Amino acid sequence: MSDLARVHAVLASGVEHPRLLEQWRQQPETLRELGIEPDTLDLAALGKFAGLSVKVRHNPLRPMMPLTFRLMSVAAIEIDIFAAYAAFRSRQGLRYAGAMPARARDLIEFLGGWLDLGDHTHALLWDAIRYEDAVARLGVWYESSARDVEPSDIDPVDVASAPRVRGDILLQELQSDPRVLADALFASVPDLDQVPLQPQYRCFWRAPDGDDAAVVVLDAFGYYLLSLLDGRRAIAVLALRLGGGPGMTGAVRDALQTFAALGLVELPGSTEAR
Amino acid sequence: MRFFEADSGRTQLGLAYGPSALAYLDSHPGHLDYIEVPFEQLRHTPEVAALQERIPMILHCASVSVAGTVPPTRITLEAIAGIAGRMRTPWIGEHLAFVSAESLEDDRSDMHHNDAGHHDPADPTQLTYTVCPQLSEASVDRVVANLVAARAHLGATPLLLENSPQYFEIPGSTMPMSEFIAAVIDRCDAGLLLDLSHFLITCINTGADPLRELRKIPLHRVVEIHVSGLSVQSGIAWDDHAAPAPPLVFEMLQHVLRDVRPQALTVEYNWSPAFPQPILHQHMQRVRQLLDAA
Repeated sequence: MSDLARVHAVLASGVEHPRLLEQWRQQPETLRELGIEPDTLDLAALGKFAGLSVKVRHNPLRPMMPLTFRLMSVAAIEIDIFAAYAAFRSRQGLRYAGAMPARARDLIEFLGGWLDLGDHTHALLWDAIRYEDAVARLGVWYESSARDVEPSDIDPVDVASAPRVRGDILLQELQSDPRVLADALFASVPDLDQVPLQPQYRCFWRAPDGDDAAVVVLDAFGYYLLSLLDGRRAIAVLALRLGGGPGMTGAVRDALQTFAALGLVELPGSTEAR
Repeated sequence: MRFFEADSGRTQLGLAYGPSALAYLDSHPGHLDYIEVPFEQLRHTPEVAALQERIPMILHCASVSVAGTVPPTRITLEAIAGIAGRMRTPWIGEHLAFVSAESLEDDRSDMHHNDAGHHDPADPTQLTYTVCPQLSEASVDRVVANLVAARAHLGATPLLLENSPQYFEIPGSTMPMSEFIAAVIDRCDAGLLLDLSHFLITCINTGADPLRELRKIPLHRVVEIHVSGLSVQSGIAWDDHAAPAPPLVFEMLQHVLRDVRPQALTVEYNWSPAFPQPILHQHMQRVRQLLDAA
């Protein structure tokens, strides 16, 4: 192999298999054995370039995740994130999924372990990507299998007296309001520090006859109530699971009626076919 | 079908294929002369070719690996030639870079021996993104040889070479990017596709003055110009087609237009479907004004 070919082979291998960069960093003699003097190659920069390559590979996710990509760009953390992701997948021996839903899921799974949620920007990114993923997962592009709801097996079955969700829902507990985040990201001079962190609850809902996901803003009570709604638990059971006590059954009933008015929930005994 | 009219006496203005380009074509149909489409896109989604019913196309490519040591397959070259012929592209723009390289395992003689005791080459490393080559005489020689080999398959369609962005020092390099570009163009019949953003990125990352470096390359051979964005992260400037071009790119364009009248200028804001259309329109108009004033 010529010197030129060897240099190109090392660069290509480092980009395609970033785990090698760690090996070359720890054992510079292995790089020297390949004909490259260690101090002539900036391994950190090559690793970042591998990140750029993987970032470009994820461009097809941009239509589903505009806030996520915008945030990474504004915060100037895209290259670091995708470089870390490239190194992670290389170490694990994982290929990049061909289908976009799987590629999105893999990226989110990685970020779940990599992001430091004590960091303001990372916390915003974690919210943004889960928010956009939830909307996407209820869209028609996503694998239908990903929307399957796992049945509950812990409470008595009383279908006739149980309220149920109409359509498909996904519930997310966020630390920021995505609307505030979007406003900040698309300002002429984005200032992410202006996006406060405080608990937010969202229900992403696609009605049985709907093509797109709706986003319902919830309080904590509504969030936990919807999380228990599996079409098997009766109102009394739901009230008990939410703490019981005087007035809880009434509170549950009131909340469910509000959801029913939105079309989100079908109440027991409802005869109206939607 | 509509075809690009070469040598029209004016610089035609186009966009790189992508969602934002299609949206712009819908909203400003009279403002675009062509769409530049990657060969790789057409190979995997041939239906994109139907766009040529509406607007002429130019073929761009990242598969020839002209600065590489592993040649593309005959099938790939013939596929490029086929698409170029059908499109009647005025030229094929290709990166002055490599996209495949020998496997490192080829360098280890104790591996990959077949039953007869002969050395079997391992599969080359195939990348999905072009890489800046070593900037050396050996690399120039390789480009010249590769172009001769590719020419046998690509037919008479002219080839333009697009300068790569350089992100870090390439081991074994003996010359700066501007000298490398000049050496390659001097020894082959290809025209130059000057990517101003790539050029600026290289200058930022190597500490060179972009306006001074521009004077070192053969601007009279520039046939097409690319304009796109860049971002600076982790202390390095990176190619970024989701970001608008910085003011310095327009200043560089102004300098280049003093010396050359390119046949085409392509704005590459094609990575993000959310690229703001008002900014895209503003930059298209700014480019048009610079062309008119030159």
